[in-house]
Amino acid sequence: MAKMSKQLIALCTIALGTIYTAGYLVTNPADETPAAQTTTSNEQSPASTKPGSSTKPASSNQPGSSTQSSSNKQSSSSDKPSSKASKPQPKYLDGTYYGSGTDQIGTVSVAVTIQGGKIANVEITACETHYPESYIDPVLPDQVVARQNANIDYVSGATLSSYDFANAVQQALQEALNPKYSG
Amino acid sequence: MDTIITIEAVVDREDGEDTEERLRGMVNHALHAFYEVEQACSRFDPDSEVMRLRDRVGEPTAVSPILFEALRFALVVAEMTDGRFDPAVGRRLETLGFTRHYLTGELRETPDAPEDATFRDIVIDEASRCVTLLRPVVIDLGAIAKGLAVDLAARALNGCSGCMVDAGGDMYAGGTRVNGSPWRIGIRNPRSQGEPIAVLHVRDRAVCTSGDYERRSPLFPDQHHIVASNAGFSSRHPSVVSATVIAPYAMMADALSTAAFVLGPEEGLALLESCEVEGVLVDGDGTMYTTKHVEDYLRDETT
Repeated sequence: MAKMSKQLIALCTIALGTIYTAGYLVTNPADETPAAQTTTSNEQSPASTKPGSSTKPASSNQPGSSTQSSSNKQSSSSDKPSSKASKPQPKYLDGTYYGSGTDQIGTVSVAVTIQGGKIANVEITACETHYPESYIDPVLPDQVVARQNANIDYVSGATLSSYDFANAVQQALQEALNPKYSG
Repeated sequence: MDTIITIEAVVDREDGEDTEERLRGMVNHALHAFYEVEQACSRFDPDSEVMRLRDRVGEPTAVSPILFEALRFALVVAEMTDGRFDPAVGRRLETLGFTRHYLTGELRETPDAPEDATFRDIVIDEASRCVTLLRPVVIDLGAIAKGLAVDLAARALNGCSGCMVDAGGDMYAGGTRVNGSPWRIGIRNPRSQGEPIAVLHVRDRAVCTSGDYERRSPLFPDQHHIVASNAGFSSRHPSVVSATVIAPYAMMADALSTAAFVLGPEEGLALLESCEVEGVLVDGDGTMYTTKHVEDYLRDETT
């Protein structure tokens, strides 16, 4: 009867994964603090007024700038170009980022490459699950590149691997987030 | 959810000076899960997603991931127990007087709902993630939703070295306590407020208890809030008064503790064994029935 146990665990795992990838609680909690936002929005004048606030405009890529308001809470759905930004910031910073997703059955690890602010390539670097990697590779990596986010379609028969994959990508993308990007 | 939620989170100090800020963010986040789940799943709120399904009987309706996953899980457990665990018992709970919204005090009933509704009146489609009600049933996700919220909250606390999410009878204990030892969770004596009948030592496990003592029917003093579908009124095995389940997820522990409660000690225990979870059932005489490996959790690893 181990089947029943596995089924219930799988359902719970998928439930949490799906709810997360759908946008509930996806964000890094630190980003939620509403007060931290918008110091980088570019009304011209206020820079001079508040003594304590950061006066760096969004576009000056100052590494040490004091406000790290990564306000990317809506996940990809709200990618409206912000009309006011003098120079649009890419959502992701170029580079290769790693992530892994684990459940009770196994682990999937990925390397996500960002080029020109876009998800250019996703590679499954390890796939230690019950299902052969071919179930999810290349279909899921291709979906991520096509959709530019981690919201993949779960592969029937390999739902847990799909879930692990989605989590792995999500984790890597979290690392890649541009702190200056503001939806 | 008419329950007090307590969250404890443990982090390493070395993480830097913004630790406290970060921690506060995480805990707020975790609490947020309860609001989200309630909005989707509450039977007491006419505007909740699950109650709005009744406006569209016979039509497939796309629902939020929270409601879809909660329903899918409920239906699987209903199938597993031949419908004795049944999310369609909402109307029956109403007839027992469980109609009061805990925040507004408002009484709400849906007399047009069929009293013989079963989980087979609820149809879900996995591909389109739609729900279709075949009749205007009142769905009660009381045995699922709180567990799901606890799981989501625990997930939001992922970055902590330890966390305890306690929502009344549903708990999740992640990682370890400050001193590195497992969390300790007492199982309340269902018939007295004194010493717990057992103390569990757990890490990365959910512990949920279904008891008949928390919510009594305001109309029928011998009735409580855990009703089995086919039996008509509260569980036909009145012998179980408290069922505790230890499982990897709170949604699983929550549903299985309710299911074990309605099935009675023997079948309940068999269900827990077949689902490979551990549990403790207590009957009206105070007799404890335990699964085979529950002892593993009774041992104090720190001694």
